[in-house]
Amino acid sequence: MLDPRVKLLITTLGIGTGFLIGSTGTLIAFSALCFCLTFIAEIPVLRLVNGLKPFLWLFLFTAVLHVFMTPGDKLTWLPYATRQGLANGISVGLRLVCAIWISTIFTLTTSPSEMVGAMTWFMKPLRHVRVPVDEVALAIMLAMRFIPVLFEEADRTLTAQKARGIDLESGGMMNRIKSVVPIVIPLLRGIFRRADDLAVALTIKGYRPGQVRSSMREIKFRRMDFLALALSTLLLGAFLCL
Amino acid sequence: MLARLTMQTRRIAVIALFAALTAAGSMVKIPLAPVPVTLQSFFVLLAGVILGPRDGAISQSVYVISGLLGLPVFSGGGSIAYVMRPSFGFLLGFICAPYGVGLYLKRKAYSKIHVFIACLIGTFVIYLVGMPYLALYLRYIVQRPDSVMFSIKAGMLIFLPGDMLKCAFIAIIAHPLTVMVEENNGLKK
Repeated sequence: MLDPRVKLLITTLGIGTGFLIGSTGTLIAFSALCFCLTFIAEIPVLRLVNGLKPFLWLFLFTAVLHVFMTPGDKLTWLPYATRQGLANGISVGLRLVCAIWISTIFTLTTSPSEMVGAMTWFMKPLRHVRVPVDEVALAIMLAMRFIPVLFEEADRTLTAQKARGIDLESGGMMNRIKSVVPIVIPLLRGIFRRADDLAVALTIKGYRPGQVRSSMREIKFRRMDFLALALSTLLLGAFLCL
Repeated sequence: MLARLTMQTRRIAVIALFAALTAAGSMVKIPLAPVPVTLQSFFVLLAGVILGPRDGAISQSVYVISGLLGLPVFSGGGSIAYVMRPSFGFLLGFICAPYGVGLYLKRKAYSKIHVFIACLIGTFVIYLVGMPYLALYLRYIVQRPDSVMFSIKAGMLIFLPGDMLKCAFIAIIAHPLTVMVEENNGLKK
């Protein structure tokens, strides 16, 4: 297992390289490398393809627009399309796909707490300009825990108000909006109480704001990390020089 | 002693809570004409009203950072790659909006009208950050020649009616909520 800081660094460098590569040939080689990474990381390809889904239409649209909108030599087998446009479309599409491919691999191989750890480490210098880095890190962990609580509380409030005979379906627009108020207020009240409980629990278990916290899983920079970092820097550098 | 210590921790918990609310808001879609409205910007503005400028902005930064780290909190998932979506500018706007809302409310005496105006300012800030990002993205990455007009139409005009409704709704519930939060959590705006 690599150090999450190293992984985050390599991910960022990789995305940057993808955008800076000059020729289409090198870009295709780079994409092949990204694809091979999937097998090294032992991630099922299908899961990665799923990660691409929200971007799919955007890419297709972008690539197609490039194909037809770039001025240049006309293609005989496709009306309005140009040779330059085709090259442009392919290279823009590949760049975007590579960037998402790499970042999805990072997401799937790193646990959220590791990611937060890495992020806190990189943001450390910001403490000097009074950015509350540790508070943000803690808040991210708490927010993750809160999301299921919110839905649970929403479900409970809705059921409770329905049992009291609230009517959400009938009436005009204004009426419906007004009928949401008796749901939203108790709901927010309920979740504020949950946040309060959490704060008390944290304090009792010894959390003190502003104090340095230790972590259950310390992140360590090992020899393996150094090798990975050196190797990927060399590789990415080579791609840039080609 | 315990009460004083918990104050600070409560602040962090409520910040986390609002980040979570925005995340939940992206999953709730209300079918209104002409486009479905998500509750995201509703909670963004509410964060500004209830937490004030600084903490409101922190809560939304927490939301955006956790999405960029890969937690599935954006509509459709989450990863660093969201920077490359044309709508990422709006997420940046979410961080700035509570600041505008809170700053305006700090200077005004509390009233429904002022909350409404503050929310309009917040909405304006979201578009102020989001629209240039969208237009530049469409112009230089997608290469659409009519990017400015298209982004105004598809990125702003169709959402405005929903935004107005959200602002009005916040103005209605703001007062009971602030009272509740202050007595429940001992928070100061």
